[in-house]
Amino acid sequence: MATHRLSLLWLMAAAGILSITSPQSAHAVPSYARQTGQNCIACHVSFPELTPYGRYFKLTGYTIGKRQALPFAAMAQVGTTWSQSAHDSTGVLQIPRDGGVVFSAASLFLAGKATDNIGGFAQWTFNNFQGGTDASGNPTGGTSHSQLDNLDVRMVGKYAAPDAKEPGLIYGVTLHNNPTVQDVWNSTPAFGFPFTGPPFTFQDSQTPAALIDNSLGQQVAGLGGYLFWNKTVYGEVSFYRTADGAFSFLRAGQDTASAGGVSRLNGYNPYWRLALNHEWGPHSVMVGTFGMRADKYPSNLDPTTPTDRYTDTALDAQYQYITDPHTLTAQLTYIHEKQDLNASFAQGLSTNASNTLNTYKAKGTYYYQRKYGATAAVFQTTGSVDPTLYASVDAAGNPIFPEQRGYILQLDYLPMQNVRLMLQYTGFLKYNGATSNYDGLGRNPRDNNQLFLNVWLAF
Amino acid sequence: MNRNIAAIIGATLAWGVSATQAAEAPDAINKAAAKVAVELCSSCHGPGGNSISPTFPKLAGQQKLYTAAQLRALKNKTRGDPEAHDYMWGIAGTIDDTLIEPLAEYYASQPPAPGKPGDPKLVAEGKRFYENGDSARHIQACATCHAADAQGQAIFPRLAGQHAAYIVRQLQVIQNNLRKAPVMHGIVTELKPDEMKALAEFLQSK
Repeated sequence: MATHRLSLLWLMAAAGILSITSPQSAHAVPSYARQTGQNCIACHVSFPELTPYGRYFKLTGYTIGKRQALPFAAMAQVGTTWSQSAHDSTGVLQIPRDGGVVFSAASLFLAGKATDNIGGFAQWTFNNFQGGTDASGNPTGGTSHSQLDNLDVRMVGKYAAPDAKEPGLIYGVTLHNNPTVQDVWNSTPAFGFPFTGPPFTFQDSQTPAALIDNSLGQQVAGLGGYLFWNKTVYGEVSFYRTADGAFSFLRAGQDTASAGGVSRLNGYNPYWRLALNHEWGPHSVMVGTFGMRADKYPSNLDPTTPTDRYTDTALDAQYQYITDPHTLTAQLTYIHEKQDLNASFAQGLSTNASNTLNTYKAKGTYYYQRKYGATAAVFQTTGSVDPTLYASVDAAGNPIFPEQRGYILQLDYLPMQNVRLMLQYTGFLKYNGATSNYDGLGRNPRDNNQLFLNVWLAF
Repeated sequence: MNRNIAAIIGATLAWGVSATQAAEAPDAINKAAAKVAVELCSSCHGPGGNSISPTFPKLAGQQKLYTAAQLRALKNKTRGDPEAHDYMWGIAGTIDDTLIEPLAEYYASQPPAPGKPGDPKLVAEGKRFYENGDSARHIQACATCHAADAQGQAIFPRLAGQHAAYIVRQLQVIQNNLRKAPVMHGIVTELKPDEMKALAEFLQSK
């Protein structure tokens, strides 16, 4: 407990120092804010959730404002996590540095407009604690690693009829490295909630995620085109291929040499997005669908075998009510994945020839004066049981069940628009297919609950 | 009152000068200003200045002199309310000086959207206050400067049809000295929140 109090003091001190040292003007916020001269709240409800204007800024290629000579920005996170139980049922430590202050990650951004029609961002991230074990094999989190994170570069145009009073059509092409990182609604995975979380979570049963649900991030090259018509209809088609050859810079820093490293796709795999958007008064609403079909090699080291086909189909919706001082936002996401595993099945790498995986997410956020925020979210995963495909790392050797249900409660305080202090509680109601004793050794889902106190700074 | 009259006379003279300048403005500059309005300003202020979100003021039909003065104040960072700082200082800074007058002209020429009906009781209360003020508290009638139909005149802004939330916010920031508005400070000092709300409801309905 004394350690926890000390951690809290450390964090408060860090927040205080950050508050004092960060300039108060618009110049204090990252490079887009320096480019437009606007503050973060023009584009973000709270970073990274976008306002209608933020969506417009992104769709128009990050080109509004004056080009900066040095378009750099940075981001850092310092936090501490308290886990319900950091050890598994056999007493082996699973969550290192529990209760300790962790400088978890920092990013450097190159972000801004290049010309009136070309702009983008590239994020390079340093993960301070990404793995490592001690002599006894216990996790220490002591290995740091840096890599290219998200990247999105786009070339855009606008069309306005001769007497039109606003552009009727915004169009563009985008090169990026993570499916949905190019999207502008926060009901898609790349910028969906939670926006950040504990650096270490309980890893004895890693619940599978759909391929489109952040499973291909920084592993693929995505090239696509989009149209946004009358601020009402958004349509996009992109294609994803393995980021190798000329595109290998898009996965810089990733492990391509080890089995189970970055995914390897065959050819160009299509992605679609259709969204209907409506704005009235302080309200905006979007309902949409997105998805992709990807042919993936069972082994990332052997591109000579047949491939498995993953078809992800998603439905999503977002509502925003933005006024001063009240802001309310909500997102819904449903992803259905169909896995045709003929290649894996033939090689004995899956128990079933086909599987399904369903992901449900819902989140609501309230902000007062864009400064004090509260968020409640629920999540659930259901799907086929495939003990071969989902290899177990459970302490008792149980197969992984893609069955999980839980919730996240979060409080945010932004003393300045570019500094976020957050307290996030993640609770599990179901884990690895069971609501209690999921490992057969007495561990319950709630033993994986975590409280996370974090300071997130962008400058 | 004398100060108000002086302001009106000054504004009218300035308007005359600026009208002459506008007449001489090359067509290319007007087109450039219209392009800025269509491609940039419309992203927040809506098509033709009829904004959708109450965070952003409607500019359609706004008095040219007022719009130009505000653009300069935003560009020079002398308008200091939080929203001016958060949204407009940087964007106004990207607008060339030669486009300010034509932009103001563009918005003055745009047809305003019809007003939005409001709570009849509030509207009636707001109308009474707008037309009469409150002599007991030395609060002048708004109509004195903003015109009987709230269309504004010269440097005094058009208020008719403006978002109620925006009007309330501006009254608040002026009352709290967060936005400089010399003519307004004395008038709004004693304005109460429910009076602001009634006024805003009435003006939004115009």
